[in-house]
Amino acid sequence: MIGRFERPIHVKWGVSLLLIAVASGKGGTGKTTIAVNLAMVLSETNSVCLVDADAEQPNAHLLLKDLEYEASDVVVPMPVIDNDLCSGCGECVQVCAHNALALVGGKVMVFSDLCHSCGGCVLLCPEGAIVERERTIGTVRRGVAEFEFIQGELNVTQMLVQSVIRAAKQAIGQQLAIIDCPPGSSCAMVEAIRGVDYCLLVTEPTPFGLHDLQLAHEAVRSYQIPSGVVVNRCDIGDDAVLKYCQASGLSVVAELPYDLNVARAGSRGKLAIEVSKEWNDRFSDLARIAVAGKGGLK
Amino acid sequence: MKQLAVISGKGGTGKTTVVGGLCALASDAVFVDADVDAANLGLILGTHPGQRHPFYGLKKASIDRKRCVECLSCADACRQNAIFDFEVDTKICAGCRVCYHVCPEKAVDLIDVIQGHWEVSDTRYGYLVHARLCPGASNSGQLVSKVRSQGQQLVDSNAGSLIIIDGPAGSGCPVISAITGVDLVLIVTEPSLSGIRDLKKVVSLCEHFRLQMVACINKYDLNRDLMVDIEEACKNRGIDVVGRIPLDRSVMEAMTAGRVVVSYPDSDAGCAINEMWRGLEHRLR
Repeated sequence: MIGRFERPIHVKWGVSLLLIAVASGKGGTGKTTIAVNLAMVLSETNSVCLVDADAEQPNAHLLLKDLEYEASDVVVPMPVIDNDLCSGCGECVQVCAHNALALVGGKVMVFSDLCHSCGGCVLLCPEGAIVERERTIGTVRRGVAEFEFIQGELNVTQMLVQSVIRAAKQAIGQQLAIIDCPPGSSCAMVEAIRGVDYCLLVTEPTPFGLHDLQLAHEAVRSYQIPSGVVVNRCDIGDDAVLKYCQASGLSVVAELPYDLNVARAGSRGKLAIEVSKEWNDRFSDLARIAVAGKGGLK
Repeated sequence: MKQLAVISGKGGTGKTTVVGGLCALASDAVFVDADVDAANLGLILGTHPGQRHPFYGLKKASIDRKRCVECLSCADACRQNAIFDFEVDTKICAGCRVCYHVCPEKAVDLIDVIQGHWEVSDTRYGYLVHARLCPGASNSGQLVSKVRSQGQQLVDSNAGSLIIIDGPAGSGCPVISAITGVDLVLIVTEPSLSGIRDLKKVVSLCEHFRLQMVACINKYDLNRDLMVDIEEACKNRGIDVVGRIPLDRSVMEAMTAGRVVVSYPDSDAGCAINEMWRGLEHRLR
């Protein structure tokens, strides 16, 4: 997938008609658990794609059985210096905003782990001594479990996590896609939520959960994405999250109780909806809300 | 001066809870919250607001419409597709400056755009350097480096002899910035399939940077079979397990009260962190 990055705004990824993101500010609130259980419930009546866009630490596959997939490299362009043409002028070093090039003993060295693939050095080398080759920074795995499953994984020590997330989203082949997002509110999370129709913000009723929900809320608001809050482990903690949602006009679309059986089941790779009928019903209700896109955004 | 960084790979394993405990137990330490995406450590250390400093990150491009001749050289060169209608969307602009260099009319300026802020605060237990990155901002690695260097400055001015770094989740560039050059990395994991998988990933990361590592198993009674698997995995990679912390409701009670769990004398989790600190202190001498 070498070449220019896709325009991020107002683009529908793949052939999907409905994109639902599952995000959270704080890590460990239950995003992946919720995304997978949601996809499972929805797949009973829809063609579903689950995208694991938590490209630094993708884990959704651990909850899926009999997963078969094909892998393809995520590549970005990387400069390669032709030493016969290079005059050692150092122009490329001056141009590089990420210090990925250095002039050492008259020769230019490329630090590929720092390179952000902007192509500036290629364009601006006065000798035309720089070409680009593909550099693999990660993998997109696409396969079928109980539904279509796509995983983006960034190779350890690499930057450009957004490129991997973009590539994973581009592979969506179903009309309804659930995107398991990275935690936080940084560039990776924003790349994952970009272009979605609806976002579930998963939180927990604790000071950390509240603090980080506010950050994630800011992110979805800045991209004008309708969203609703899922309060996970709702019976452990205080009511500050609920008060915040009320004050800021965020709909609370589900409150899921803490259940040690579900936590233990999850630790072994078992789904919440398999634990009891109550849990199946909770996720069915959540699925209905998510697809309807209920939940206000102010 | 020694530096201890605490990471986890998987989010929610209890990094900040553990770090909060260590901050309370360590004497002569400066604390750095390197989780600039979601800085929570201050919430349990009894933090007084300090002076906020803006963080700009890389300069962003801005087109001067008076000089612009609408040749589209900038948009053609921009791989982020950040230029539309001869305006740069600074949320998307990655600061590579290619447009600045290719513009034939020199119509592109490089401007500072606030990407977040950092702050040094006084807490119940010592100084805390923390930061907040604006949602969607990149350059998180740079902001992490900033808070670390501010922590270093505090130590240089005799504010302490140990830096405790609360690292971000994940294994990407902010984590790399949080761990490079530290004396010891403490990996807080949990006995779940995702916990183990992410543990192995951050171990590879630390091995790549040749860093000393130890591990702590939090919520160990969540799944005792997997706890055994973690111990085995750590042993195979030569990593000592220096702490085993049980599930404990007092963790949530403490957090809700804005306190660290080690301040609850009857807390099992608090006792386990206490015991772990004794071992860590010894390694950091």
